[in-house]
Amino acid sequence: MSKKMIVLKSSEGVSFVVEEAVARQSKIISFLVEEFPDRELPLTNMTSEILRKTIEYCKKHVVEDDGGGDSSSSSSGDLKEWDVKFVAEIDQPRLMDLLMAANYLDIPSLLDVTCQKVADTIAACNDEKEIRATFNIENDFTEEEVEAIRMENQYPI
Amino acid sequence: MQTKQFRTKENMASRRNPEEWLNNELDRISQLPDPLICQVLYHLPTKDAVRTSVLSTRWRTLWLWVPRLELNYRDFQKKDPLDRITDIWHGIPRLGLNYRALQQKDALVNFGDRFFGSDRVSGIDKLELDVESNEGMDSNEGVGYYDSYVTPWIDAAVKRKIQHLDVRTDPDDSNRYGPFNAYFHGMPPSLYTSETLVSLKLDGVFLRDSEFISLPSLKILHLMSMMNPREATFERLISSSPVLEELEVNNSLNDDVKVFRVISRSLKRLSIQERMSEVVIDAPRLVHLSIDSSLSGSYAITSTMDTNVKLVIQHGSYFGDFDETSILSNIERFRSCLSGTSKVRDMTILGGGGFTGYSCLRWLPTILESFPNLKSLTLECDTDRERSRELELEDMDEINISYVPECLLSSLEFVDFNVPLLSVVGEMNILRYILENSAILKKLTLHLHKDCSTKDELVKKLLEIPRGSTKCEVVFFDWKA
Repeated sequence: MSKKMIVLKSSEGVSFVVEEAVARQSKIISFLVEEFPDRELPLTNMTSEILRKTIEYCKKHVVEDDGGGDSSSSSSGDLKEWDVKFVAEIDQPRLMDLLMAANYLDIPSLLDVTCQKVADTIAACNDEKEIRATFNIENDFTEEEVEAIRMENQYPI
Repeated sequence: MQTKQFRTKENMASRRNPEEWLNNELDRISQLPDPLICQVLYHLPTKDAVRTSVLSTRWRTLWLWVPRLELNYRDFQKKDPLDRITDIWHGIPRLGLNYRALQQKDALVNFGDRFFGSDRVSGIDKLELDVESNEGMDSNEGVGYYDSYVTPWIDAAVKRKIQHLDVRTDPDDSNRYGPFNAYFHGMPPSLYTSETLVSLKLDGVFLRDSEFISLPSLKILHLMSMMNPREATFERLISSSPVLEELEVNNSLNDDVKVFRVISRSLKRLSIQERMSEVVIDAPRLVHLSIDSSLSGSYAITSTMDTNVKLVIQHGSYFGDFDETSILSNIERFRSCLSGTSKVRDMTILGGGGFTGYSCLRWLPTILESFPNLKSLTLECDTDRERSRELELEDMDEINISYVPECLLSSLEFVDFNVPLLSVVGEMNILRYILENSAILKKLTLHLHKDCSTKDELVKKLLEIPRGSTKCEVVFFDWKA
């Protein structure tokens, strides 16, 4: 039995042909495929680069349902390793795009790994100055204000 | 965590002109919408999330919207040389008058009271509390437990639809195992009727006996070192959780509990480390059962699915001393516990003391006798610790045990010896016993320690052992903890 394919179109108009099972990991696409079968889906706010990455992730995570039930659970450790490598290879601007794409397409597991990667980067910073520098966040506080917020939080830092 | 859909077309398609491309090599976390930043903060420990409040005006209160909180009393202990001295003082039970220690506790309580007392609309998915014992309460028939500052926090979390609750009382706290029962934090009665709770892990707290319990979403329940409710309450907890999948009960039942019944249609994983005289398990969907070799009573598995159950025996050092009489009586006692598990085909023995020495060769064949259908055996040692010289010297002598249990002759096909092999002595006797006596063994998996200096010699010696099975292959891996 041949697998059903669908077409996703990036903001640049590039078409990606993917197996329906792969694309269905996106709850939004899953919904759209049912509402509009046999139509290509224009993802006007996703660049080809990010769409390609997203499809790569979905391909890796698609559960082959051959009636084997829990057969995929044995490799869950390998899959986690793959995820870590997957996000480690993406530079930070692209990571933010991918995070937003995961949210936009509603792919919970991809949102989870991308958020975790950003969170890990924050946690690895020594202080708030380093976080600001890493993420290009503009500081609009005076030192007095920072002290006041610390007092207000009542949390030891 | 529920993800709010937040689509920002502007953001997604922002890199439309060359300038933006060029300027975008710096990270743009600030372009994420608030709900997504909160989503990122959800993946951080609370102390790192709080730290982001001083980044900029926008970040100031974002952390407060994250439905996750971890509070650890150790984070509220200031570390300067003077404090270390007060810490030492604080370690003395019931002194409780130390000013600085009280200040630290106040800081924790103030923070928690403010957090849970505020009228934040967002829910709390996940709460992890590490607290000291409930110091200074009087044990007037349990009333004191509910004077704990923790109780109202958890009550507030239940009202905010908590899904994952984890409360731990410091195991290093010298007050915890004191003679006075008052040192436990009482859990609020509302916890028994949470509709949203999925995972409940309690360690060293007080649960009131209750007639009415209803936990329709609870899947994971861990109870460690609990303050003595009646077994009826434990059994009600299980029977009132219709989707419960994982249960761990560790040192939580009264000493006078005679029979502990685990009756569940949904339970898949069960771990019991208790010293009661009988455990009755009626859980037809059980796939994983973990028991402790120090159990004094018996296991009765009344459901029918036991051939597929993966059994784990947590084997401490209970058979491990060299006094012949006590080894034999301990083995006999444990073996009598196992009568309900004879159909098991897959078993793991976690050996805290490793698998070296004379005693191992005494108990292993005897234990295996209780498993005439065993197909796969894993012997596992999770620590990479130094083994005593004495044990190794003793192993230099070859020991012959002529007795061979039935599973070795007729069913055992796979043995994974997941123990770091370091030298030619040590585990050699037990490996020789397995290889020589297993008639239909297909595969023996061995793991070499990275510091093994005599790898070639070790492998050679292991491969020279005559094999009872013609089809047996021996494979080597590097040991991973």
